[in-house]
Amino acid sequence: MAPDLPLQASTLPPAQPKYTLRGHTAQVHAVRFLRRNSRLLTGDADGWIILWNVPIKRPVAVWRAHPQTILGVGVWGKGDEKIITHGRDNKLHVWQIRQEDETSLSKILPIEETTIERRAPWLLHSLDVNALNFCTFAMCPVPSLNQSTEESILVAVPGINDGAITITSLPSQTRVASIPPIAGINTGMLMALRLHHASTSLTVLAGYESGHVALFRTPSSGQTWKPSYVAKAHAQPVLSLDLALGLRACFSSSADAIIARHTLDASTEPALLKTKHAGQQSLVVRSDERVLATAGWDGRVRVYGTRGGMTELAVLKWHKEGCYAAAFADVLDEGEQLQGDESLARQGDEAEITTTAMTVSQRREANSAKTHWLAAGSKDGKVSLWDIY
Amino acid sequence: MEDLLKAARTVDRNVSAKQNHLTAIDRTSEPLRSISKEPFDGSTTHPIPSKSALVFGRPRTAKEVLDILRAEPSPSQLIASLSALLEPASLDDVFEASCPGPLQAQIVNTLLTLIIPNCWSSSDREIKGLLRSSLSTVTAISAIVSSIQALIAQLNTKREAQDTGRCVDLISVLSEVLKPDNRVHEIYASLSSTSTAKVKLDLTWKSFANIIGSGKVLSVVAEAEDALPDTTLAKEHRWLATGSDYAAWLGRSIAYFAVTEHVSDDASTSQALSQLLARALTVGHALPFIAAFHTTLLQRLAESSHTPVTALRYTTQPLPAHSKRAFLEHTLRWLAPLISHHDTYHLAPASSSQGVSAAAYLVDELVANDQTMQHNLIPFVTDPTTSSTFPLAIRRAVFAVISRDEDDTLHTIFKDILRNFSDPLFIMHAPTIQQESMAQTLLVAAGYIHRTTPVALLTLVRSSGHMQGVSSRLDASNTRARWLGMIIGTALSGLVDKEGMKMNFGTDDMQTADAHWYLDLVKVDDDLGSRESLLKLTTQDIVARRPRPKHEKRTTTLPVIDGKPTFGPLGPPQAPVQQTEVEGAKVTEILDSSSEADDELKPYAKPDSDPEDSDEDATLVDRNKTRPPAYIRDLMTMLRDTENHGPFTLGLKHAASLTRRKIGFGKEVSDHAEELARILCSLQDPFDTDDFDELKLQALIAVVMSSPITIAPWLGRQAFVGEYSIAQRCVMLTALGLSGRELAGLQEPDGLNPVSSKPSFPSKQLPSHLHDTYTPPTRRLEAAHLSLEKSLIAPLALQAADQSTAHLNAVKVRTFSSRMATARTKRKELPNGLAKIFAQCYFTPLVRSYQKDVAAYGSGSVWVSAPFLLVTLLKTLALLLHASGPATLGLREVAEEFWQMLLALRVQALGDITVLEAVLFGFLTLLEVNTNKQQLADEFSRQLMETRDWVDMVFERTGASGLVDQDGTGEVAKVRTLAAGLLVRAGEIMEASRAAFMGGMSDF
Repeated sequence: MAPDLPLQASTLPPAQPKYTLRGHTAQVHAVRFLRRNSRLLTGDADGWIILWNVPIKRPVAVWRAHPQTILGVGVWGKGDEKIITHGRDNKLHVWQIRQEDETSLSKILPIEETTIERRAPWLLHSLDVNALNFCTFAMCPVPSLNQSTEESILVAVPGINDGAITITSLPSQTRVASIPPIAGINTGMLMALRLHHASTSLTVLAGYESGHVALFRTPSSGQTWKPSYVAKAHAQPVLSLDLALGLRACFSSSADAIIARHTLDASTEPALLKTKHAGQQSLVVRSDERVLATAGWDGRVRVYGTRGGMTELAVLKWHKEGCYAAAFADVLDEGEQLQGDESLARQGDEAEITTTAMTVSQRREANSAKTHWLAAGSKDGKVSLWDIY
Repeated sequence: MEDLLKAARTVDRNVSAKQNHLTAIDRTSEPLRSISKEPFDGSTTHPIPSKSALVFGRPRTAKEVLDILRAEPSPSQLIASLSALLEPASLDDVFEASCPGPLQAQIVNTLLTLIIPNCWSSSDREIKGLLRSSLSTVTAISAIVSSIQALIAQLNTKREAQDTGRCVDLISVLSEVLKPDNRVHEIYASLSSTSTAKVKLDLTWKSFANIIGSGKVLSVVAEAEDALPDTTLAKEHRWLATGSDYAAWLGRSIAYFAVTEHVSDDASTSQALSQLLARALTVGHALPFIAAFHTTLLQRLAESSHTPVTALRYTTQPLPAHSKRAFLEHTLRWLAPLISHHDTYHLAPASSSQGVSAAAYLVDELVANDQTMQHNLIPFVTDPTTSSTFPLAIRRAVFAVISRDEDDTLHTIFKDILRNFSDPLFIMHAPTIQQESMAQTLLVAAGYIHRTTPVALLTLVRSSGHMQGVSSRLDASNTRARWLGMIIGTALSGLVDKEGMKMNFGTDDMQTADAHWYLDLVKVDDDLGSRESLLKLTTQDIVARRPRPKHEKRTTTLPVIDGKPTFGPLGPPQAPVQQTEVEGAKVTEILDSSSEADDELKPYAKPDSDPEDSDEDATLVDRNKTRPPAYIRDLMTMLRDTENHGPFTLGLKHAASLTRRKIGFGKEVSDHAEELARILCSLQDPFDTDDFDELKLQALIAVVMSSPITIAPWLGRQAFVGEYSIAQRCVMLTALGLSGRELAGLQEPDGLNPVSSKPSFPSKQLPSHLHDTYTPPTRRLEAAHLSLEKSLIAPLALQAADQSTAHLNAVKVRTFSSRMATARTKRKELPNGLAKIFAQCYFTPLVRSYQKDVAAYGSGSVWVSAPFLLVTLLKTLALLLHASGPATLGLREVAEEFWQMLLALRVQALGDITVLEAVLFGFLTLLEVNTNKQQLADEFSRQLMETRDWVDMVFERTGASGLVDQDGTGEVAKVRTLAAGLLVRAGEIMEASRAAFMGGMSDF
């Protein structure tokens, strides 16, 4: 009939995964793209970390970073040389993997062999996280004034008391701040954290077991940390948070079916989207802030638009079991891409005469870097790669 | 001193003689404190061996070893001293670790009290290996066992963590020491290689055989396991406390011993070996022991050129006579299920079969050249009680062996059996199963004799004994006994008589498949198989018994909720959550649709499925929703899934209705009926499912109902085999009883709808764990039994009331008993499907299996030792008989056999009031079902009189005990009522008979 036609034209066919990476034997709890989308970092519930080469979809480094579940991973430094892992063993490790280190590391996946010891990369820092909960760390770079010194970062982890936050600076390993639990509200455990360091002030975003989301800003000297915004948007523990600075907003997801959008400026009521799909974890906003994705416990990764009414744009169904982690590849803007192309072209010129194979592999790398990947890690230990928007 | 030691180090490195020892030392970072026996060339000073030498690495005498061990040695010292112990050559003095002595005892004691508690659990593989080897001696093993025993006493009085740890350590040491199959042989070998006197050696070995073989280890470890808190003992060490596993280990060890030693043909070793074997036969788990022994022996020798004959003979020759008999019997019992998978002999062709020949091969090997064994073999075919407990296949195998003998053993046997078979007492009183087995044996024997010496058989058959036998059989009142006599007569005459002279009864019951099968038995001629066939047989068995994935204890790792491990104690497995209200802030839906939506992003279509949450409340969303099974195959998978709560419960809940739905729908149910029934029979409840027993029972009933002709007999036999618990057997019997009633059209209204049964008010129930313990699984059967009992007794009581008020007859509108009669006519008669198949499918399998079990195990049978089980069996039979009713096919035979069974239980009944009640109830049912009173009195006069006398006695006795309370409740009163009812019934029957005798003269 007539109405069907425009409807059909307005939607794309259901998305299918482009690739699946099978390497973990346990639930995948963290995924992260790095180095201009050329690498993907995944961590599982047994503490294994795999660094994948995205263009060729092969592992380049495999080691067991923690004896227990990986809670989160991060990257730091020039060329993303330092990898941060946070495990259930109450440790936060910073590893160094430069491009040249990759060759010396094991490539044997846990799915092939878990018993043999693999060489771990160089360990730069190790922090104790004195909290017994699920909350992963949050980090942000501190814009340094002079370019020559090593870039420093701030790392926020849950403190000893329920609901407290400890912020430490790396590499100095000094404590920058400790935020006490919110007075007057029983928030329960800390569940999710996000940090952002603007030129002068630090913004800390926290989600709690009670379903509260709170926003802290650096107080003027001598004052204690007080939340500038608290809202109870969820009936269940908050599972993840992400910031969209361009939109002056942040998003939170929880164990219930609600996704909330909080504005950073005014203390207005959060806007809520009832998705009717409880348990959405690992909410991430893509770097261009047009879409956000959640990993659902029903095995589906959902993509929502960030603008407008947070419309559900895509439901990515492939995993048979619940998904726990999702990550977008960075959307490299034109300049970056151009720069990349230029360097590629320059390199291409140099290597023009050598072999065509090099050119092919480089082209593949460039294509892969430009692809708008969405990676999803699931309970079944598989990681699926989708090409979305 | 330090300088000296440094010098020693440099020198020592050059000496290669002690290399292995040095590597052990060098691994540690502590200063090297080794001293070498070689002189230090090039060094200026000579170390003087002194007391301080004790702390040095390599001990030189056993005494030094002891001192080192006592002085809290470091790992390296421990390694050095233990390896010194194991290499006696390296010690200066003569020391033999494996033979008992004061020094050895001290060392073992030190190892057990100091080293094991400190080092065992934290040691690496090397130290553990050394400890294992040094503790593999008779002294050490008995010391370990007695230390565990001592610890148990301590644990029972006060449970301390330290004792628990020690106990667990000791058990794991014992387990690891004993575990390898070759350990027993190793111990013997090292013991016999020592220079001790023969007498001492024998004594030591005897004590070892006592500890290992008599089940002392088993009982001590089992007791320790009991005293220890749950789950402290690792799973791999639990075999020591599990009877069947332990017995299997023993079997393997002895077989290994036999295999390695039999080549040497050393008499004293053989003596030692059979000493152990004789002990092991008494452990009590004979079947796993024998199975493991034979299988290991066969497999170990499969490759080598030696036949198991030599090894077997080597092992069994020096056994005492009674052990030989036990060994033979257990071997035959092990072979029985291997070669006849079902007792349904109708399915097995009488022709020669591979299994029988293979079994015959093994039996032949056992008895060849062994007079005692040969003598022991004969009772297995001649003794009616023993012989009836073995399937025909085993008896055929025995005959295949005996018939190879040159002398006239076979003739003697034949005469023996014939005499027994013709004995009028045997004919009258022996259970049918014994008579049948005797007849089968007789026919097979006759066949063998006829083939070798037809004349001999002719003389035997012409003898007066046989003629007398056939004629007393033809006189017998028991139809089966009579029929068997006819069979024997026909078959033997068919062998010896000329054409035209052959005996022929020409009746219909001689033309049945059963009769042909019997007549064909004379043609049975089995040959001795080969080793290959036996090997094939045993490997088949292994494949068939491949362990099913057992339900493992739920792992103690922390549960993972939503992908993240949780802390704290284990929660209940997904207990259903009460509906909770979502609390918290009011949710305001979003609504700024005004703000610009990102139109550039074109949405993807939804995937094929994207179900919304089942519940508003996130805590109630069940993501792994399991669907009810749609096929029997699904159902079986779900029932086997003992790891997941959801599928298991759901499967169980739908099992009955699904099975019933699928009856007659293709061959789905009938194809899997037996498998499904097997799953249900052995189903355990890992999740504390509500109404588990009821659901299981309903499912089992449904399966029986799907094809009663095949499943009911199977289930009837299944209730007597295997290692089922009493509760499981009761469920099987209950399922049989209730399914039979349903077939007969007597089902309760809610029979098809198990869910509707409402639980009683909680305050009237015991706490759940006690409730399960004290509520018998036969509740439903009990209910049916009670209602039937009431319906049987009520008319009798009414009649009594009627008669006691006979003087009022004139004013009575209707007699009390006639009211009952009118009430009964109102019931609509349903077609009775049970009557047709009751005898064949329900009654015979149950009674036969019962008789067989009792004959095989005597008072050790669970059916004798657990009155509850016997009561359930009797009630099941009585209920079924009643349900089947007067129209039962072959009622006469059923009545006769049931009567015989009940009469045989008289003695046992007096010992237990529940059995008494069941027996009385059985009698009452018998009399009730046989409606033709006159015929009953004619055909069963003897049984009737016996019953009457006995019931009279019971009635008197219960009355005399004064236990009957005034209001007539309680067990005793119930028994008395039943007895009274029976007496009345019996009186009626006799009255009827007398009336018939008088002819029409007395019209009462």
